[in-house]
Amino acid sequence: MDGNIWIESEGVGKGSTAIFYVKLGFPARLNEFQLPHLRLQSKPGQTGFPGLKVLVIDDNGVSRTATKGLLVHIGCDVTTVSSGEECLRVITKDHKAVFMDVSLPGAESYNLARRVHGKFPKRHEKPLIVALTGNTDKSAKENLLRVGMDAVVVKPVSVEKMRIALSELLEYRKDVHGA
Amino acid sequence: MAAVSQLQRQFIDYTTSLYNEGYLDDQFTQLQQLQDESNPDFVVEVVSLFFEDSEKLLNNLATALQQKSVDYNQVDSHVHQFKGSSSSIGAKQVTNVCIHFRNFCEAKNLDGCLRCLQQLRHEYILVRTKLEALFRLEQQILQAGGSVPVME
Repeated sequence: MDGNIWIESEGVGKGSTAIFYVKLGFPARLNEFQLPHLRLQSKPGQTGFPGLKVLVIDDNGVSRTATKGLLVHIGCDVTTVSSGEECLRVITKDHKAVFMDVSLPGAESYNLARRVHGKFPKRHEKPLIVALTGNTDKSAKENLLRVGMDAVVVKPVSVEKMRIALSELLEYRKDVHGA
Repeated sequence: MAAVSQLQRQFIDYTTSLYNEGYLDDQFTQLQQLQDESNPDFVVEVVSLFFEDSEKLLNNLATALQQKSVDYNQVDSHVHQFKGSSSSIGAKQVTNVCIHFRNFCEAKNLDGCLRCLQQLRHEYILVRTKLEALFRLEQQILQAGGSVPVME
């Protein structure tokens, strides 16, 4: 199912709703866009992601450390970088997800998604790209999805929100990439 | 030496007051929940980074606003960083000042910016003082052989 995911929350401790756009239909018509979106209530899903190799890009040291702490707490094997250039140098096909803080300067974050996809032309090697943003504006979110992000997660990110997001993303990935 | 339970009570009361008075928000609680045996100093680590970052940014802001021809994009960029760090640790008042500050940057309002810088410094020093007191309380509890209460 080709589609996109974003996670909304009214705030930490107030529950999360995962919103999915899924493309359903015949394989030949994968460009068909935005059939009615499904609103799924948060379900337990995976609670830990032992050894899941992920990359965090954030030019803010405090925010980067906090995001790393969160991902380590749920079991991920986390690499951190502070720029797009560093990301492209360091990323390997073993990284299953990239968490990109989209307040990176200028258009860097947008170009980065494209360049990461370009680096891994084989579908099953592509990492999931998750935008982390403080911007709750719907059009901004849709824009991010349009430029190649697989999902948008709105900050602040709680442990629960991250668990749900990763859980759903990995399920989505299995469907799309079979891995 | 005060009894462990007394210190723990103090810790709970003090932490609660920080939330009630708006110095901290839920993001701080989130950080505390990430602290565990494999990452025992996580909160102090992140908050220390915040302190270092903030001092640098306050200096940078002062310099940027003293220029003959102020580069408001540069100023805004520093405030943006500050907002990112403060919201990452749940320093609510500091984050709020940053939001106002950015509005003044956009309006290229020097007076507004200078006032915000003053406010920012003030709020930063306040939250730093409070957090340092909180960490001292934690140390006292640990040294007395107790465990630090986990806030919900």
